[in-house]
Amino acid sequence: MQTNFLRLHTYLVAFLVIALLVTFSCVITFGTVKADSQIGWLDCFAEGGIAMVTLTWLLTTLLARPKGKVTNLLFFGLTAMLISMLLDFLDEFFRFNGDNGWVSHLEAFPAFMGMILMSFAMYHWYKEQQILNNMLSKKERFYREHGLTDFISGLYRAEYMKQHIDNELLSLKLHQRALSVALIDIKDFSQFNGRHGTARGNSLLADIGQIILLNLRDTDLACRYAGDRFIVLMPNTNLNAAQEIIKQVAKMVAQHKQYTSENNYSTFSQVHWRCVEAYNGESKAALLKRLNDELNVQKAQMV
Amino acid sequence: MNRYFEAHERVFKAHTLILPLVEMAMQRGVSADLLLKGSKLFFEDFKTHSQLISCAQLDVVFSNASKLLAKDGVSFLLGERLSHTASGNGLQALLHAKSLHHMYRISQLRQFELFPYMYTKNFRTQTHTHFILNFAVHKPSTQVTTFFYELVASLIERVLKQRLGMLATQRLDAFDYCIQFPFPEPSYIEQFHSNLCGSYSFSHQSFVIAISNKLLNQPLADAMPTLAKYYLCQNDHIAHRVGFLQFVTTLISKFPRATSDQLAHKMGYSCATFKRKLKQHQTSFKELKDELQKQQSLFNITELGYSNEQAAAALSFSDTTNFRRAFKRWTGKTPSEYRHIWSR
Repeated sequence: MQTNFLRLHTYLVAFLVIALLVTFSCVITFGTVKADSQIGWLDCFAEGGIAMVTLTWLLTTLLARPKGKVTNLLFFGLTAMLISMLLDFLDEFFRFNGDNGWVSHLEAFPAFMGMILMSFAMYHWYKEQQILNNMLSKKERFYREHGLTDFISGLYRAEYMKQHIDNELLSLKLHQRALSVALIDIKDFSQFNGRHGTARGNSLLADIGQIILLNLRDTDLACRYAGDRFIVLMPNTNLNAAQEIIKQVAKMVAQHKQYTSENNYSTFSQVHWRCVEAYNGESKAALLKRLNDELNVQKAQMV
Repeated sequence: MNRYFEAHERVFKAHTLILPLVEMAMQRGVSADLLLKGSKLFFEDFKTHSQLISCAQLDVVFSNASKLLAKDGVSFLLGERLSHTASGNGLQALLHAKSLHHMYRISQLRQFELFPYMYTKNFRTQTHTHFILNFAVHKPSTQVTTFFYELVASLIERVLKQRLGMLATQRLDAFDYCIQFPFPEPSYIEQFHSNLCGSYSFSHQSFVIAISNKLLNQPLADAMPTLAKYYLCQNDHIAHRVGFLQFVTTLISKFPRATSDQLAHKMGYSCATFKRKLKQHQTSFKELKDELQKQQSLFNITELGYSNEQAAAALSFSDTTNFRRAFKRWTGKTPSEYRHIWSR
């Protein structure tokens, strides 16, 4: 499920290793080792620490990001900064006399270049993030907290939804802004799990999560509720409008085919769904309970 | 061999609990090592041979699971998996029993094989039977007890649904059956909404499953009593052993007037050893006795409508003042306050 991005960056890692080797060999060739008494150990500790942290940032960047322009800019920028930090650190152990004085004069130069590169990287990163935010809009509203993400479906968990329902209930109270909430329940999901295994079941949950996202408006928010249930928040929407939206979502889910490796697919059944509009003054717990109860009653009647 | 086992004794074949949990953790990005951390269990060992584990080890794993996968509802999922993966003659007998009451009796006979971690006591009224579930081996931490309660609730619902011949979409609400959880409504209430399909309520004194006698004795359509009997007759060489707490509690209810020292003697321990053993299992003689009397008197007062005098007499208290004081100590409320809350 998770891709190891580090494997994508073999060239960059190789470049990093060479750059570090060149830096070390330059210092060793041109410098003379200082006597023990001349070394400021406190300085060594602090400067060495800075170099280590920069290296960690650099590796984390490679771990976290796919290939591309932004990654390259970040990489070269951070590498240049790392070289400066290393020169600064090694300069505690080596002295550069006479003709070799240029080494210590130039030590800040790579950092300066690196910072210019990083500034370009930041600009492009900002552009890239705008595009990604746009894609996430139905999954996430003005607040990012990866700890609340559900690992299986990739959507946020019920806890995230509850925070947003609280906000919307408040705005219903203060500004009379209607709000509707829907629950979508996968039919016979435990049978599906029994027949096809939980791995397929999990990927079905992820698929359906995506289908729900695709068929919502930009203002809506979808999260995984629990088990085989998804929850959708529709701010500024009355019951009728909300029902139309969810009806469409249910239709799209019913059309979904899940492909397996052998080009077979399991047509996957339907969903039960239920919308409610919040009353003014209703609590979050009462709203969720009402929604669940109504869905349960509906499920029982459909048999 | 002892008739009972202690928390640290490796006596369970718990692969049907541990392995699905490991798998669920891995699917959610948590490694097996992290889940099994501190339990002295290793995932690799499960692959090569069947392992016996102790109750204490199981606790560590459940505690890790509820910390690492707090809001994923893995306890409920595990209950569901268990209803598919469990095997053996005990379970086969259970699945062919002629009524829910018959199933209960089988579960008592085959407790060690089916679910040795908890034991059941039942209290009957004219219309309903209350099954109170207590921990059989030791008293785990609150986190772990909650995990167990959710697991058992989920497991029981799946088995009930299967036996009552219900479709997956049907709800148990229609049946006269209710689960009472001994903890307040949790923040992850959505897991209860999605995973349980019968009625349930929170903030009770004990973990109780209440079923109407009618449902309990109703013949089950897919029953095959002869087959159930056959499976029960199979001698699996499984000695009927119970957990330490279950053993001591049974002794206390058999000899309600016995002192701690007398019980120690009955079990062949010195007084000090008996005390130490109870402490190792996170409890004391007084706590066990209190719990027993609390459960009995709560049932007497709420379900049978006993007066204070009747309830005191039922537990052989010398007078009602003493009883009221003890009741308040157990539950934090006087009997009349409790009746009042209950009737609302």
